[in-house]
Amino acid sequence: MEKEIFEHHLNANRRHFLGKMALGFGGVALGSLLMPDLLSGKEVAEDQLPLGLKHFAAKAKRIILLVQNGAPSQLESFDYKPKLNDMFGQDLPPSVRGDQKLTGMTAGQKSFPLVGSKFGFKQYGNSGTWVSDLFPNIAKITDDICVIKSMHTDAINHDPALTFMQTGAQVGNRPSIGSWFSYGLGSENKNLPAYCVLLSKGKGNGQGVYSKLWSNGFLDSSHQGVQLSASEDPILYLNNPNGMDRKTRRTMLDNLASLNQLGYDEFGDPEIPAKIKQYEMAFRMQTAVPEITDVSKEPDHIKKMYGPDCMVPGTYAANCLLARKLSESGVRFVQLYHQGWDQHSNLVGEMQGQAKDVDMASAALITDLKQRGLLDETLVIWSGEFGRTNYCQGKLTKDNYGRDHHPRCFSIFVAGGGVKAGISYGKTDELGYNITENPVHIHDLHATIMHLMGLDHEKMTYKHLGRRFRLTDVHGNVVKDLLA
Amino acid sequence: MKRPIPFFLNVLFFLHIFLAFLVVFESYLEIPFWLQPLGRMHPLVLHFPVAFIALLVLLNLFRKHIDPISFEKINYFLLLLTSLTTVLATIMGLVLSLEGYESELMSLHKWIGIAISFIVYALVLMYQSKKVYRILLYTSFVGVVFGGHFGAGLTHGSNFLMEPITALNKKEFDENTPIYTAYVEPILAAKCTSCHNPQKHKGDLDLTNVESIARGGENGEVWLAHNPEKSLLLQRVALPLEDEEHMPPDGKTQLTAQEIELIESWIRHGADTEISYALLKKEDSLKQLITKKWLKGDSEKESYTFDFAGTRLIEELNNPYRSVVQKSPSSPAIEVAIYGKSAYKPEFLTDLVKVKEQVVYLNLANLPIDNQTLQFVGELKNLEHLVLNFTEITNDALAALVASVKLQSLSLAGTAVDIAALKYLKNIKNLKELFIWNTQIRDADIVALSKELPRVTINEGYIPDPEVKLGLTPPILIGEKNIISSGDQISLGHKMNGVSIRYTLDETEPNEKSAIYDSGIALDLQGERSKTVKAIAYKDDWLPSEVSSFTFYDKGFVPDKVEVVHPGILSSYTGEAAEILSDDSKNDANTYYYSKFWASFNIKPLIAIADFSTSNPTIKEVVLSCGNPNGAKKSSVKYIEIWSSNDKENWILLRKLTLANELNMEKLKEIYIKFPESSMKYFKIVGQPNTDSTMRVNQLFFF
Repeated sequence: MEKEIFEHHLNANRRHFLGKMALGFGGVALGSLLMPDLLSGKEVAEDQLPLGLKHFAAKAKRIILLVQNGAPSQLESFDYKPKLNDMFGQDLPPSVRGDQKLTGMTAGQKSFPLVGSKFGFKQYGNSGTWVSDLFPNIAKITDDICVIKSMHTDAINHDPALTFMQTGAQVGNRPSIGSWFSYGLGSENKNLPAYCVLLSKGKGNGQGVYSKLWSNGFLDSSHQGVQLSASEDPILYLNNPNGMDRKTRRTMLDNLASLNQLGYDEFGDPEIPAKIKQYEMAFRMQTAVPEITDVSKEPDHIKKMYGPDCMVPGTYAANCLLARKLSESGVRFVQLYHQGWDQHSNLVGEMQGQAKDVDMASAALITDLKQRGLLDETLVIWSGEFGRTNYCQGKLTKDNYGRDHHPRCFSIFVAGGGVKAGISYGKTDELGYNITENPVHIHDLHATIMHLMGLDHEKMTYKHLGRRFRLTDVHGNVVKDLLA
Repeated sequence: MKRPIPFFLNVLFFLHIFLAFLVVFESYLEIPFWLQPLGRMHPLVLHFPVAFIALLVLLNLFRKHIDPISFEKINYFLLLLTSLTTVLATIMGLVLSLEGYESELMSLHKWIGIAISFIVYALVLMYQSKKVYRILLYTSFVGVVFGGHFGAGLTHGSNFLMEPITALNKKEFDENTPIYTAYVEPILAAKCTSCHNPQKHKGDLDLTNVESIARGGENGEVWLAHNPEKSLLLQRVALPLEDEEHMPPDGKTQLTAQEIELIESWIRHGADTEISYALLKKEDSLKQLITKKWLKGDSEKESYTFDFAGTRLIEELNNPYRSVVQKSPSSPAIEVAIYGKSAYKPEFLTDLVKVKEQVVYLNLANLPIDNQTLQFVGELKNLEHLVLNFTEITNDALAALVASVKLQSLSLAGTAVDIAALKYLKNIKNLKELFIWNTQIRDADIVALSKELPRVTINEGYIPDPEVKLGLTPPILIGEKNIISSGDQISLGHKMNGVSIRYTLDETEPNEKSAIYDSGIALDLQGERSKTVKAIAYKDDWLPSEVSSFTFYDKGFVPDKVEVVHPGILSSYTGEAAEILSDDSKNDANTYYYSKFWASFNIKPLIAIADFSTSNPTIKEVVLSCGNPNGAKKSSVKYIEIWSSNDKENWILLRKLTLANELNMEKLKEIYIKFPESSMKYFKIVGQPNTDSTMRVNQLFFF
């Protein structure tokens, strides 16, 4: 025995050493067979969720985002500041303004005279939420909504601020929030796009909206927002051209699919089956879309609820009604834009018109979802891109004034989908310039929205140009206080 | 085998390298399903090394009683066997661990196992050095005892060994159990008492019972009632992890945020060791916290006892019209929605029988679901949420739902159910919310309904206030054409059903006495160039609409075709001039300029040639509809020339109208150009834009 062991050690020459190393490598090689990702150069796919799967159980299934484009004044809507009325015409104390940069429009102004709301405020509902007289219908549903008075953003001009709100970045080329959800959760109803966009325009001073706001950025183009137009053809080029019936179209698609299949068999390009699938979806959309866009079968009192304008295509009211129908039919993310909220001057006149456009229909949308039992699973967000200054831009008179852009605080409201109802969250100082309690940044709002939809904003990423992108970039905290 | 020993050594070397590699790159490891049985052999194989190591120890303890040569032979051979079975058991264990054992116990067991494997291999390598050999051997034996114990804990539960003794103290908690006993004490027991107990009492502190906690430790009292900020326990917990004073110390299991929040809230409430959930007031924040984060969490976890349906089945059930989704990756519950009225087939619903245990949410809104079809839904015994809005069901369909004992939320909006449905609704035991907007259940029934269903929130939805009247929208013109020949039919319409439209043709404001619009108006222009129709809409319960006004223009002579030499500026005014000038739609100055309704010219002039070679009428006037931007002060047109010809070669100038200095902007909207009668075949209209101006045109008339 001893001898054998001794001999064994004597035999430990170079050949033996190399032979033994081979065994060692054999062990490594066998092990590596069990680790598909170790040697292939790919990272562990731990945080890459399989598409269509949530990270955890979701509170909300769908979102309707009501963008009040141009930035409605918080001081004439939800953030009641009687002190501003007392201090009418007095200059904004520099200590309050701090180092806040101004826009080119008021930077040259010699004084910053404070001005309070021309419209009265009252408290409504069990929650005692303050709402201005401009929004009598929203005032009636305060117990169903959560007003956030402490929103703030980074940008001071419309385009970057709106882009920021939509994509989590001020520069372009990032996926819009709706595209992220389309990517992360897919479509509920596979006969409709996951992300739909509806536009309307008020009579107030407007700011442009561009299709980049609902762009898919670096995500696959199937996640792009689909704009529904106000015409008889809400989705362009969806209908068969004259002279082609559905049967002919079916035959054509079948033949096209078999040609595509030949191409796929030969080249194996994964885009080809994707294309076949998209054609099939468009074919199904041909029947699904008219079912949804037809509002003539809505009961009469629905029309009373949304206001008679809901029968006029292209109005905010019509879009709200359509948004409800789309959302009810499983469209993951419906986004409305209503232009005309940029009241640099003639705020008193213009804001009345704008509020009249949206007040009734916004409230109706929430009530309508509620009475169908859908509000619990649908998150509705009503928001501009930033706030407006507490001082007057241009000439201040007793009867009229204007307000400039203000990124430091603004008010929005959210409803349904797992958000606490009947609360006001966050506070601003008595001059309505700075936030004093519970600030909510745009990134925080995004993180919270994602949380409600069952997604972890830190985990849903997309790798592009060598780095992973998130909707919230490297920021954002879920605002737990808002969760029901 | 000639040389069994070196072969054995090679095998051992190979297996240990393999093991080391697996350990180092464990996070990348993915076990294919066909290898999983290997992992599951771990509980079988592990008994060999346990017994062999014990045998080795015994052999070494009694070596003096054994013949030395035999001892060497047996000992070495047994050692090799031990090492082989140990490393095999460890590798198998590692494979098994990836099937989802995540716990502290697991990681202890794993590392002890790995350590034993390498210690035994070290025994093989260091066999010559007797002293080291013995130390290592006894160490490995101790390892086996502990590793074995933890391993048994994994399979039988961590308190398996002592359970018969500790079970005596186990309690059932309910809402009358003090919060301290139900929540706080278990946290302390799990995270603190391993060091702060009567035996170990670090910092002179014992956290195992109320009395010893009240005594405090060497640094004072553990908590201060109503004052979590000054409570030592929370202060220590809140310190940064690196801090010496932080508790539990770095490396031990930390308190979770939820646990800290609970203790904080409990201390704020008064650190009362007797107060129970039942005794707390509803608005108390401690009660709310427990309700929200502790009770709910438990019930959610517990409520789903059924199995996962499996991703393959879920995938199979998904089709373009049916969405079948697992609630979350960790929940077996499934949510289903079916879409598409025209594509609906009953199988879309009945296929769900394959997941009838798992479906908790079902949305069938707007589908042609009738009573017959709904029978199936009764089979979904774990269904919690059912949406039947705007389906074709009636009261009797709800009979099927009485079996749905888990059903909490039922939406019936837009269905034909009425108050007679109550007899079924009463028997849906766990119903919590009911949506009955737009059903036959009337206001008067609501009282009865809420009385019979005291635990159900009833949402009757929007009920229009008869006092509030809204204005209708104005009537609309059907079709976009406003250029007609006298006597053509025009159609008005309204988006709302049941509206009556009244109209006038004489430019007066219409009212409820004006002519009623029926199915079309044959509009007689009565020799005039244009005619205005004014219309208003009426409907009961609504205020009359504003008046809408539509002006129709006489077509005049229609050329066979119109050609233009330059197409116009297509970048910002997207209209094609040839088409715009001769379509049957005239826009007024309010139409958005930068659109397809206008053709524009700035450097190159408008040159339009109208072909009348077939009809060959006698023409004496051309009207050109133009547009000047609102607020413009200068004319955008320099001059307009009308030429005629029979061969498109030799043109005769009929009229030149200079407008460069025209100040009346109204005149520029409709430019009337009269000239001596001509019956030639071709007419050419040249419009020269003014210097630095853009000329916009949208229609051309010949009279």
